[in-house]
Amino acid sequence: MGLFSYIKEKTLINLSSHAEYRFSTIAVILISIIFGFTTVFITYSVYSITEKGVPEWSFYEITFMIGIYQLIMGLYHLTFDIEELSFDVKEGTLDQKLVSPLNVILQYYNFNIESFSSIIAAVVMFIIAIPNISLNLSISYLVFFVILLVISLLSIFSIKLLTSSTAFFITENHSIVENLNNIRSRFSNWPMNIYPKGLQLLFATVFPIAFICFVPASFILGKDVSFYFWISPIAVILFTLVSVKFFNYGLGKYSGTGS
Amino acid sequence: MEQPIIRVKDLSKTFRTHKRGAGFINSLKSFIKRDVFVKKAVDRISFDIKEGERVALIGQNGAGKSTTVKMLTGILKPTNGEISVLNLHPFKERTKLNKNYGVIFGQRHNLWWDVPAIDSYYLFKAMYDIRDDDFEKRLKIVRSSLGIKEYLNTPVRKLSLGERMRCELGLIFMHNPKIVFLDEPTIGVDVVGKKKITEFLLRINKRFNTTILLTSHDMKDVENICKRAIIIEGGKILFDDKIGYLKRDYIDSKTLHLKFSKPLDQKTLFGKDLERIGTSRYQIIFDNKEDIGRFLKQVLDDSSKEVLDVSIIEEDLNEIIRNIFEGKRK
Amino acid sequence: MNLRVVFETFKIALKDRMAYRTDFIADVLIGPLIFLVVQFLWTNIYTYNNITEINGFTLNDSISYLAVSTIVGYFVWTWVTTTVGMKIKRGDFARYVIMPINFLDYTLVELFGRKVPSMLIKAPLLFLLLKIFFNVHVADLPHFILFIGSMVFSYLLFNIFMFIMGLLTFWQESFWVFNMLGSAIIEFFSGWLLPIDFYPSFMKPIIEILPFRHIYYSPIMIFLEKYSISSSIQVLVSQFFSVIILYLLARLILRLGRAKFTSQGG
Repeated sequence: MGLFSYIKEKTLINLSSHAEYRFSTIAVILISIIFGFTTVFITYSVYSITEKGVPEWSFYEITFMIGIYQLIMGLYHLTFDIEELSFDVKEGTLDQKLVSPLNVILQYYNFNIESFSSIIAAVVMFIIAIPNISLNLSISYLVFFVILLVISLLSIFSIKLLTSSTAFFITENHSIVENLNNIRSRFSNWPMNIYPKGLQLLFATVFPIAFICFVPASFILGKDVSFYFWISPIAVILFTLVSVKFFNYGLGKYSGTGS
Repeated sequence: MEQPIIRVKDLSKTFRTHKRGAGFINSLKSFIKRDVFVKKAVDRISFDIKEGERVALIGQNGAGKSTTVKMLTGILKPTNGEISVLNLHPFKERTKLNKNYGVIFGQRHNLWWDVPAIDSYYLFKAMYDIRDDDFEKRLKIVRSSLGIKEYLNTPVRKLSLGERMRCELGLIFMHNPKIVFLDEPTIGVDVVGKKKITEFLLRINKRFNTTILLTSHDMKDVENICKRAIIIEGGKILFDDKIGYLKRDYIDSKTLHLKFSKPLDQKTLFGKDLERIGTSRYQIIFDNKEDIGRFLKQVLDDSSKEVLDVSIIEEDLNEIIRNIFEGKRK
Repeated sequence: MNLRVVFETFKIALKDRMAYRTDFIADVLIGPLIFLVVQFLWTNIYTYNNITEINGFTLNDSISYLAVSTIVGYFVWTWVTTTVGMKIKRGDFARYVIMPINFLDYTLVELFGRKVPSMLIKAPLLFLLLKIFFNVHVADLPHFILFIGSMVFSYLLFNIFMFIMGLLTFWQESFWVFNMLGSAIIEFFSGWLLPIDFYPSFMKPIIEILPFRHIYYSPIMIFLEKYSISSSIQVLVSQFFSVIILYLLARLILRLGRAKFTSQGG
């Protein structure tokens, strides 16, 4: 099958590119693991200086949730790099993707071995957290949990696609992408219950970051997520459709650098 | 009659751009308000290209060549006019068309920078769904006729520009495209590399009847590779015919160089002005209508002068093109 | 160092910024939104634990601390490591060797020039927004003046340290790794993330020895008037000595690296 062998070849190319810079690849992975622990570090400090810390969540529960965040981000970046779209639009290199017979979005498939850092960080967080929390591990819960992880991946993908697509309209979209990325990562790393109701609703619908790690973690931890749980598939799927539409609209508008 | 492979009729493309003044104050101004103006990059052009033709698109920077190529490849949406490539609308049916053409944008590369070129070839094989035996067969042709055997296994960043361009060129022929668009493929390539590229393109054209659309600023390349030229200026077509006709129509003078056994002491010869360019060398300029043959015969028959050497110099293509752009056309 | 160089780079940098107005506006407008998360998190922590003070910090102190931390970032943060690293990797460094200037001094001035637009426009604008929406504490005049002085040292500390990180490119051509490493060190040891008073106790002794707390923690504490005038001056003196030591270290490493560079070039 064409797509399969495309993915295989691109993976090989990505791997050998990284092999050319072995030292930096390994160093980047190690240093990135440290960065992965930023929020855990803040959480740890909060719990060491206060009696009860963050409302309704324990240190280990938050660590577990951030572990899911790291896992999802790791899986996403391991295979995809839609952020490159901004560069492609600005530099006109998108032309090359347009003249190729493959779907444009698919060409942003990218095997990035450095993302293993997030997955390693996630594993360490799970090792810290799991002995100290109680998880619902029945089969049906696990099945739903996996479905929620897929939804989580989908929401990451569509948020990134949407923000990157702004490049079609605002060529220098660096600050927008950067800031929205920051908003996404900073807001999704804390339990949603610290935010006002209006913001929670926003994060469950228009800007669905609640599904990245809060909903899956709450669900498997047995916390009440009924509100999020029932709207999650609809909200994320609608959001994905909108993102893809927005991307296609932008692509239609794309006018090259005309040099 | 043979169906053209590319048809373009009254094709136009306009861009809206911002104007930004130079200087500090103007850049502050542009922060608040920008002047928008419309630029006609391509203005109602029409042409047909038949299968197997080798056509050059010639024009100065910003004349509309690249815009035309981008419309033909479906990257840009035409503002007006009809366009069809292999009976498909490039913009609307880009994905159907992709597999049938190959493109090189001279300044950008398809090859992955840090890995050997051959890896990118395999990636292309997967992208274009090329069958194993076809791939091997064409790789063999490309490898030998471009002389890139030893380069294919070196990381691309270690290749010279010419070596890299040959690898790039080979790559886009792997899926046996019906049409190739080559945008400045020889830019920065040395003489040996250029010769290889030219030979390769002619060979592929002959063997697979591949249509070639070349844009280049190098008229030697154009002459060597193409038979037909389309000259674009200010978004309009100035000339579209055989390159040979270009010479016939646009050359308005020829220069005759004569070398005599000893210097002459006269200013004219059989009614033509003599211009001295060496001790006993002279140059005489004829316009197209004049008969050089008769003049020469007169000179050679004149027993008072001994002619040692004769040469006739035509304006070269570069000069013709320059004349056209400078508005000195007939 | 020539003042005209500073002025010209400032002009170009500002023009560069103005060319992309949407980007600039987005940065100033969306920036404060990120700060909402700080507001919600710490308000929740204080009310949920039913306390008014954590290690001497009221809720307003904590929020102000993190707000000023963002502002300090606008003043000190540059791409010095990648700039220096790229010059070394691509060989442009040779151009500076033959110039009658010191590479370190030149880099510090050039980057400062590029920083001015963000210092003069973005930082005050963002601070104004944070003041309006989050009621951030504003220093009195003497503390504010000391804060500005302290920020000059912060700028130098950050950039000399990250310059050293860039110099490591002489030995290993992966400057982005050193950029990450430097950022990681600053992220965790400078008080950028949290007031150091909130840190787990095992980290405090390490932070006391290292100079990085002078990049974020010290100037912010001066701004919040947590230090008296006299102890603020003491902090400035301590910052000054850190700058001197780091500067000499950078010069030394630059000299070692240069030897490496010429021998590589053959």
